[in-house]
Amino acid sequence: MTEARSLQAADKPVEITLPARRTPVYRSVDVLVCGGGLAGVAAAVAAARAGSDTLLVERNVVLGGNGPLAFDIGLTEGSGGISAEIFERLRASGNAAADETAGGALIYDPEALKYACLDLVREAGGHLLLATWVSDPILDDGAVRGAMVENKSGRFAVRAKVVIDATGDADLAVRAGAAVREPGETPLGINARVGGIDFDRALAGSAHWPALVAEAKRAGRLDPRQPDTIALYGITPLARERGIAFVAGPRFGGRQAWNSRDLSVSETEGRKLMRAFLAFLKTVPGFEESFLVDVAGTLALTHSRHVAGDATLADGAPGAAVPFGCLLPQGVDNLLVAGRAASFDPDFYARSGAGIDCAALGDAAGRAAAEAVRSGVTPRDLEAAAA
Amino acid sequence: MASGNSEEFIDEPARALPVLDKVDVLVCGGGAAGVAAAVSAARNGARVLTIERDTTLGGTGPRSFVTEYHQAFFTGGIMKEVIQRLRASGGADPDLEEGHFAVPFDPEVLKFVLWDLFEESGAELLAHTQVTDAIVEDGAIKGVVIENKSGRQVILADVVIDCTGDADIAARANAPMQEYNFPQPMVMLFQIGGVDYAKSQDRTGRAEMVKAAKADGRLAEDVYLDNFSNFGIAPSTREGEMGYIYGIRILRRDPYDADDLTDAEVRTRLGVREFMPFLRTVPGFENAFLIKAAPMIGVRDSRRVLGEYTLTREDILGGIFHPTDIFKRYHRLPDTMGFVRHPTDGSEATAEFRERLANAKMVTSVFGVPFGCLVPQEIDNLLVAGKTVSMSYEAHSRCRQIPDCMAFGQAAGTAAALACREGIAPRRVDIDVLRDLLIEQGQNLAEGAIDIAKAKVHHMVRD
Ligand SMILES: Cc1cc2nc3c(=O)[nH]c(=O)nc-3n(C[C@H](O)[C@H](O)[C@H](O)COP(=O)(O)OP(=O)(O)OC[C@H]3O[C@@H](n4cnc5c(N)ncnc54)[C@H](O)[C@@H]3O)c2cc1C
Repeated sequence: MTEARSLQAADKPVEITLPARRTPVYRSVDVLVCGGGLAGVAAAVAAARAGSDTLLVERNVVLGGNGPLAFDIGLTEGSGGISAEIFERLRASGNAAADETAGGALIYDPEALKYACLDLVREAGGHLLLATWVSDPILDDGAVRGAMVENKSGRFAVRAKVVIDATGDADLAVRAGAAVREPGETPLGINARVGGIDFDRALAGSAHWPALVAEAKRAGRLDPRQPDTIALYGITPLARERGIAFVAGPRFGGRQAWNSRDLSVSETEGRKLMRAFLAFLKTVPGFEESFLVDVAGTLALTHSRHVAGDATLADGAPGAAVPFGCLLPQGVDNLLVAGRAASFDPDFYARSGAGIDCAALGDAAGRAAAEAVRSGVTPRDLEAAAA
Repeated sequence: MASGNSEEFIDEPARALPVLDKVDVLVCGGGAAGVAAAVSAARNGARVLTIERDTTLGGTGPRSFVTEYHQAFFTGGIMKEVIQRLRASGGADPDLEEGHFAVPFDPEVLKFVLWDLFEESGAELLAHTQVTDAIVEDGAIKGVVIENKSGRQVILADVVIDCTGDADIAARANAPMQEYNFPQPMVMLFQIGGVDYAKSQDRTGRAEMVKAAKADGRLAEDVYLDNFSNFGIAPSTREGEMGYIYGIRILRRDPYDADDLTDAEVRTRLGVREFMPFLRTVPGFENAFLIKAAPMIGVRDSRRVLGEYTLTREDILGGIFHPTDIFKRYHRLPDTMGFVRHPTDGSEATAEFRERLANAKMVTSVFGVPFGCLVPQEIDNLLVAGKTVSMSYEAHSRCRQIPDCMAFGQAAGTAAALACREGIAPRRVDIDVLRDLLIEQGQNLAEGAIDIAKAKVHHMVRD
């Protein structure tokens, strides 16, 4: 078989040409938002509230994106607008609380964030299309006029007056030919939710965790790629009552968030390492009775490639105002990029990524899109008019 | 998608796509059937790639919280290995008697176990990737089109196995399909914590509580069954005071229509949230809290291919064997002639339905599933495994359990590897060689492999 295999590999063509096709139009809308993370949700809500017929397309079946799915649950207090509304909803429903292990920084319940996002989009009258992959942009002379989508129904076109790329990785912008900046690597990690923790006993021994982990690594009981300590987080009063918190697993360097092989490999390696780490955890005081509730549904990543926009944020305090030009990718018209893939200098983002308010960027993109639709101009024209 | 304006089109020009890989066997979908197909094809010498849109293996079982194998003990092969490993690693009860109707499992442990089996077999996985189209030339499938973060690409293969749970690849290849008009209810299970198991065992009055809550508007969404239950509880689930609650479903949604799916996911998820305050009024659940709704709605049935053989209710109830059987199935269910356990209109909750069911004769049988169920008509080099193989509507409702899907997968994977080895189309594989290999690799085809005397009767038939 090995022989046959190498023969086949040799005759693998580089390309295959698919024939021309007629793709049915699913819908024609004012604003198409690609990706239902915090940026996409805020964009869809803002655009719909401003009167645009808005469609939000998400590959997953829940909204909120990577944060709740990856248990990346730090809650940045919204600086205003929809970002603040999300924050307020979580707090009002008792689903945001201070995390003891993070110096009292706020965290949210992942399931509650998904519901908050769903509520906001529905209340605003935005349309949803879930379990749907955004494929290629519909291009007309350098302007994006919609996108092809793929789902259980097949391949369809969505026509839109303005398109917002909130995929987190500038997927649509890249396929539309926008200029991008690719950092050499974007660390990928895996987190898990663990129950049965005796917090008092566990935390009393936390000073020893790095030594315990180091010893287990020396003895070969833990893989060297495992974290250096027990990275426990999410300890709120409710977590204490329930005995449930989160554990951050290994972080893989040298990988890229927009490379599918890297994602796939990190997913499987990460889960395997997490399983071994949880077995080790049961030998640590306070965790003897611990059990796995669930490994996060996807990888944790704070950082990806970025478009090169009309403006680029290279520095600034977390929460600082982001110029509108950061949402406008060079080389493409009629497309806004909201969220972590907006035009930031990658080094700046790597330093302060967690401090970027993605919902605020989405909010701005959604409002601009609606305004552009209303005025019959492109988002870039809006900027020119404002200048 | 129903709301699409079918009059309007966009013309996409011919387009060259990069070829990511060329493999012997390409498995589309990494659910129950997909894992078994990949593992068996790899073990039998093929170079195997599995494509899964999600991040983990296992599909509906672990992701829709269908946390219980039904009628698994008599299914051999990879299913048996999975159960052994689950029992050895805290994912299923090690003391459960052989022959038991149901094997509850811990979905998180299952995902670990499946990965181990998969990796050890030498199969490769490309996760985070959706298969979107089939490339067919001269009546044979040559490969598929995929979408992922790296873009739109092509993967070529000698044999493609469709394990998508919706026959996506067969449909894109225009393979003929069974008539299918009656989707069964989709179910949204959800994971909770804080269950008091000592108290929650007493179910008296629960149905009345649900009824009252529906009547007074506490359960206002139109998605609730007339009772709820804690589905498949593995020992580790119980020790963690967790549970997987079954009681929310939605009717008449087409599983391969994206608008229907969107609506089903949204409405049932909202139903879960509304259910939680009610749940906390039920004894044993006073401190229950929502961990999460299932990451994917549970889809019972979907389009099924028209294969070289179509399994029917008569095959099953009559205990028919065929010379080309790829596994044997122990079956014990009421003979519900002309209707299925989960009818499309949700009438399973009515008194009339209950009476019909109660009056139906219980039938015990052992029957065989022939290889032809996995072989779609007209399209070569394509096999189908999982809940979309060629069965009639009624046969499907009796033979679509996870163990069945794994048995289909194992047969498809083995046949695919044989076809690659011989350089022939899978439909021409020597069935005796295939059956011998399956027996050698643990499938229950040998004489006397199923000892009915060991079957433990289980009256609570929930699926
Ligand atoms: C409510 C409910 C209760 C049930 N109860 C039981 C029970 O008690 N016991 C029992 O044994 N069985 C039960 N079943 C039946 C059983 O769960 C399913 O029939 C079985 O899991 C189907 O397995 P499969 O491999 O065919 O599909 P799946 O397990 O659904 O696998 C399909 C996989 O393919 C992936 N996929 C789909 N499309 C694509 C694509 N285009 N590209 C890439 N990947 C794709 C999916 O993400 C998934 O991982 C129940 C089912 C339901 C819905």
